[in-house]
Amino acid sequence: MSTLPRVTEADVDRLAAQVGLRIDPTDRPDVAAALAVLLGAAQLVMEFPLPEDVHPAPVFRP
Amino acid sequence: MSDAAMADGAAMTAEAIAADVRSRRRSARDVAAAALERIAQRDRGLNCFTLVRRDDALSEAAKLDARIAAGADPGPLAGVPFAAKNLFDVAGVTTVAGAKIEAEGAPATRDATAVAALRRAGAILVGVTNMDEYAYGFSTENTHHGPTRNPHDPTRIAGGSSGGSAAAVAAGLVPLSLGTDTNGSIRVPAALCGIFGLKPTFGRVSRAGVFPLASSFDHVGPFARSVADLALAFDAIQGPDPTDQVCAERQAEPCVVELQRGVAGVRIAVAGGHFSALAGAESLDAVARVAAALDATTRVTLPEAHRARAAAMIITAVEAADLHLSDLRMRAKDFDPMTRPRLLATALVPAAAYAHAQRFRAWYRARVAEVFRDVDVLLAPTTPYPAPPIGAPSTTTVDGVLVSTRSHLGVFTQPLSFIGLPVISVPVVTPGALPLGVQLVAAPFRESALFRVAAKLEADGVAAAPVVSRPPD
Repeated sequence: MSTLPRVTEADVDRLAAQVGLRIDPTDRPDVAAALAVLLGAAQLVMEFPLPEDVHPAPVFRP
Repeated sequence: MSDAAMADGAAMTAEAIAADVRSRRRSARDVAAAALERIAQRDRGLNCFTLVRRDDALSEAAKLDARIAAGADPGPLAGVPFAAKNLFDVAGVTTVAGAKIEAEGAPATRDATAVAALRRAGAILVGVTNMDEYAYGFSTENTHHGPTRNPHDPTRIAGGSSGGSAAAVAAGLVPLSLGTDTNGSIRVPAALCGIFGLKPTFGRVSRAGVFPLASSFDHVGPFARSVADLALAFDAIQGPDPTDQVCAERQAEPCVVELQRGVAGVRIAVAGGHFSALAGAESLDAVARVAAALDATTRVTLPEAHRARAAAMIITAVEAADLHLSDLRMRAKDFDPMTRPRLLATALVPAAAYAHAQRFRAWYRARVAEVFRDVDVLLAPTTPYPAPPIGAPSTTTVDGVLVSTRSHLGVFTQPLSFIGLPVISVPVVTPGALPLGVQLVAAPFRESALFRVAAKLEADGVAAAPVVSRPPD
C-alpha cells in the first residue's frame, strides 16, 4: 500500500464532475483512499505490455 | 460434537436428513420445525438471517410429507432445510441485496434458477441471509442489517460477502446454503467460518434471478459441512439454463459419484509465488498440512497472479459502477457507509484500464491453461489470515507490509475467479484456533477432480467442519 498513487479530495471532485457525480465533502477522504487503491491496481495492469493480438472481445461460434 | 447438537439435529448432514425423510423416519415438517427453532434460539446472536420463512417453510415441508406419503419421489434433498443469500430471487421475498435502496422493491415473482433447483430436489428454504451491501465486500459488516457474527468467535467477522449463508451452516442452523462469489465471496466466508464452499466453473451454474455485482466474474455456489452435502447441492444446481445468457451449454457432470474414487492419478501441486507471500504463517501451515496429506511436493507458479488480482479489482469496480451509477448520482446517502466510498470510487476509474484488464485476462487465462497441462489440482491458501474482529481497523500489517484488512482477504481468491476456475475451499481446523481454508483449484469444468481430493482430505481427517455449538445467545 505504500506505493499507492496520491489522490487528493480535489482530484475526487474533478473526476466526479466528469461523470455527473456530486460527492459529499464528508465522503471525499474515504473516496480518495478507495480511488488510490483502484488507481494503484490500474497502474499495475496498464504497465504490463500485451501483444496486439490479445483481444478482450468474445469469440462467436455457430 | 456436543449432545445438544446431536439432539436438536444441528449436526445432521443434508445426506442423513434426506435419508430419514425419504424413509419416513422423520417428517420434513419436524426437520423444518427443528431448524426454525435453532434459528429462533441462536440467530439473535449471530445475525445470519435477514428474513425467516417460518410459516411458508412449515407449510412446504408438510406438503412434501404428503407427497412422500402418496408414494412420490421427494428428490435427493428431501426435507433438507437450506438458506439462500438475500441476493437470490425468492418468490414472495424482496431481493434486498443488503441494500436499503433495494428493500423498497417489490417481492420477486419467481425463484432464482438455483433456488428453484434445490427446491425441486426436495430442499426446504427456511430463510434468506445477510451479506455485504451489493456483495461488494469480504466482511458482512452490513450497517443496515448489522454484522453477521462468526460462530467460532462472535466478536469476529464471518467473512463475506456471503457471510450469513456461511455462518448459518457453520452454526448448524441449516446444513446447506447458497452464496455467490465474484472475487471470493463464497470461499472467504467458508474459510473464516470453517466449512466447505464451492465456487464452480464460470458458467457451470445458472445466475438467473441473482442480483449482479460484476457480470464478468459472478458465480453461484453452495456451502456445506460435508463434502457429500456439497456435492449433493452442486449436482442439484449445475447444468444449462436458457434463461441465463452466460450459463454454459455443457451438460451437468454429477460429482456425488466421484466421492469414492480416491485420488490415484490426480496430479496435485502447491501454488507458490503470489500464493505464498503476504500471508500469516498459520495460512501457509494449513496449505502445508493439506499438501503433506496428499503427498503433493511439486510447486508451480501462476504467472503474474498479483496483476490478475489487480485486473479483477478494476473489472469488478467498473462493472459495479455501471450498475450503480444512477443511484450514486441520485441518492448516495442511502448506500451503506461501509460500501458507499468504495462504490463512489468505482465510477472514477479510467476507461483504458478496464479494456487493458480484459485483455490481460485473456493473456492470463492462456498462461494458466498451460500450467494445468501438467497439474490437475492446485493448492493455495483461501485467506491470508483468520477472521479479523468486527470493526477492525482498516489496515493491518502482514510480513511487514501494510495491507487493507478487509480487501486483503481476497488476495488469494481473486486471481482464480478472475478466469472462472472451479475452486473448493476446504476447512482446516486446529483445536483452539480459528479456522482457515485451503483452496483446491482445477481447470475449467474439472469440479470432479476437486471433489475427489476434498473427499480424500475429509476421509483422512485433514479437512473437517464440525458444527459450532454454543449455548443460546
